[in-house]
Amino acid sequence: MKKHISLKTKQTIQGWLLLLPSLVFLTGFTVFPIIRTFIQSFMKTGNNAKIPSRFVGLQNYTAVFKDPVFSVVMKNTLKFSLIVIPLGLIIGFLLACLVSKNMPGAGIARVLIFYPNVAPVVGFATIWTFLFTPNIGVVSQVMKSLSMRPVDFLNNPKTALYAIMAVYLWREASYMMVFYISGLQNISQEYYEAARLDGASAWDIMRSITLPLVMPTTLFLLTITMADAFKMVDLIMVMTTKGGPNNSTNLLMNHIYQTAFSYWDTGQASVLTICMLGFMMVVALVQFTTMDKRTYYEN
Amino acid sequence: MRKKRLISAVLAGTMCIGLLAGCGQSTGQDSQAPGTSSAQSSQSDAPADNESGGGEKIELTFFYPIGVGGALATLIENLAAEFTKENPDIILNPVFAGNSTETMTKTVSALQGGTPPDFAILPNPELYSFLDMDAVIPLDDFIAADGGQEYIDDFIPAFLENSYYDGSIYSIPFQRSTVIMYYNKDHFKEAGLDPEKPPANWDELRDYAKKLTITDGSGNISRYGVMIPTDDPFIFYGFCRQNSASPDSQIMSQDGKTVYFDTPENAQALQFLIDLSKTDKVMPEGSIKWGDGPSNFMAGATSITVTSSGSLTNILDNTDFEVGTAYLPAGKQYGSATGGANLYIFKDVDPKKQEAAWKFIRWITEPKRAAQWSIDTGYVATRNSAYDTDLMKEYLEKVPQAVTAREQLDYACSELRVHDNQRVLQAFKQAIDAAMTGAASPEEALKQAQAEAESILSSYQ
Repeated sequence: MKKHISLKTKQTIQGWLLLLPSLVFLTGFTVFPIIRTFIQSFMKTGNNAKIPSRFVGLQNYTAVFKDPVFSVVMKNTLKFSLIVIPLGLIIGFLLACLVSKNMPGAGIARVLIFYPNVAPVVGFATIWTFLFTPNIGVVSQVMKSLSMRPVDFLNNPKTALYAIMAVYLWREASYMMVFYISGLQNISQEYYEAARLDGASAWDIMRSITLPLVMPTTLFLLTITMADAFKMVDLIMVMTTKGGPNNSTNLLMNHIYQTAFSYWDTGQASVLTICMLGFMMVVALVQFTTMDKRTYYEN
Repeated sequence: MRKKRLISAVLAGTMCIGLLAGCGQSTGQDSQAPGTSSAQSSQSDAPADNESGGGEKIELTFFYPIGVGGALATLIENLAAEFTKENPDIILNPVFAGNSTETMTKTVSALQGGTPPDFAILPNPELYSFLDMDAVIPLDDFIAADGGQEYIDDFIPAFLENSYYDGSIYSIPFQRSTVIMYYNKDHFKEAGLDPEKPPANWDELRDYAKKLTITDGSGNISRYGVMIPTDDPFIFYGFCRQNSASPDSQIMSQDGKTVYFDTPENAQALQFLIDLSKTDKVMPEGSIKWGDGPSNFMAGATSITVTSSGSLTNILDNTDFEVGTAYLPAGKQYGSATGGANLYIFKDVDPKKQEAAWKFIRWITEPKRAAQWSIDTGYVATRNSAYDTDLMKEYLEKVPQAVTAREQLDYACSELRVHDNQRVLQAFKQAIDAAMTGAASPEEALKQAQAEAESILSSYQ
């Protein structure tokens, strides 16, 4: 009957209590759904609530992998991510360099550049669709006035995905800019002064001071943007007809949505979700383990 | 250290994707909560008592979609309130559920969650989806007791096409439309064409479109003769019918287990549309989106377009030129698909509620309401007798363009209506996309769609 609880136990209890709120949410909204999805991916759901789901083994997996649309969708998703993520980081970084200095007008420039992130996605996606309207849309008109042959970007399978990427970057790059601004402003001015005293060129400063010191921001943004790019679906839903033309804009998330809520094939939708999950886990792990070595923290 | 880092990496990774994982769950309890959208009804989430005895009030919840202009929600709410005024025992909770696809999604999640609405307004070609879910009831007994064959016979036959299964009737036509041709009479005059003689067949369409297309000095087309959207097969069904020799050809068999995508007639129809863009250059290339046709038409950037009869009011209100409407041009015959939603009553609902729902269905499809609904919304009135009302006669005198849709219904065909409808539909859509964008020849594309559809439908044979 010890009344006295050791300090260590106390600390342990305290620690767990502090963790509890996030643990509850993490379990309820992340771990549990993942487990459920995993189980569902081996089941065939009954056609109505009275028919219980039944176990079908790997049937859903073979069906998904055999579907030619799946490989098109994976190719599109990879293409989309591989182009949009680095481009977004680069544009975001350059924008941040432009507006991070405290020059007159920088504040207004920041607000204007960040604006797409404040506007509702469905709203501006609709407006972009209008801009891309063949023949009478602004994009067509501008091309015509430059005596170019107008391209119906969204109606052409060769260009549709790039049109979507452009709109996506227009919003995403400015989002990254905000993080880079704070990253840049966190770098102590002393380094720059010292470098200048040593006669370092602008390029040297960028390569040896700025870039390494915004590395933590880059790493963080890589993870965030990868998740963003993979779950991109809003623009597809508003700007295209079900990922058309000819599946050229059908990305993984759109395919999952269609399979789950249009075909009502919970099993196959779960398989697709598991694919997405597994893929992102691997990429996240690789990022966190390899990038860590090249990340420099101040102090 | 290393281990900790790994754990934190896994956790961080999990967090990022956690949001996504939830999407795989389709039981979607949240999507069935009425009032999640802009439903104004405040009591809509209070489920009515099941034990509605003698004079007790019955509360009915129903889902409805809005496919066209915005004021429809108010119209439906008003109709529901008016009905309750006349039938104080029945209280209606109309729940706005998005466009027709979204309403379908909401309804199916509610069904799978075991709490369907009492009745709903849902896409007419989804009958087999509901039958496969064992979700809807036949309405024959209600009809026999109230209305009889006379009631059913008054509906325009084309609209009942997708209501029957195995001799029973499962849905009552409500907000229905069809595809018609719109043309710019001013352009016709300019091009020396008779504005009262729209193109009546494929050859004329081609011919007229050539005359109506304007190419500027640098070789750019500033005005297209015609724009026929093909991103959704809805319009294409009509062309398939037009090119068929049989007056009642459909894209699928009556039992919804076989599709007829891969026919030489359909390939020819597809080739006709491709030729308009690639050979004659009177229509933009690629897969034209549903909305691009009317928007170019209203801007005067195309002289002829094909779209829903439901767009008539919008097009007339937003153009300052004279608009003509006509049948889709004939191939071997006329043809155009009907679209829109019907009223269904759900199974596993208290019989008293089903009865009350039927009462409402009867009420809202009365000729004068069908007429008013058509005038207010642009949908085609579903009953022949609606056209005998003074209301309708007056309207048609004022807007003669509205006559076309109804008259063309004599040549109407159905949308795709098979088991696993959305999946088969997507296969067909892809085929049309592929052919229109030049990724495959019409024959190849349709053959592929046929094979895909057959493999999807094989489990229903």
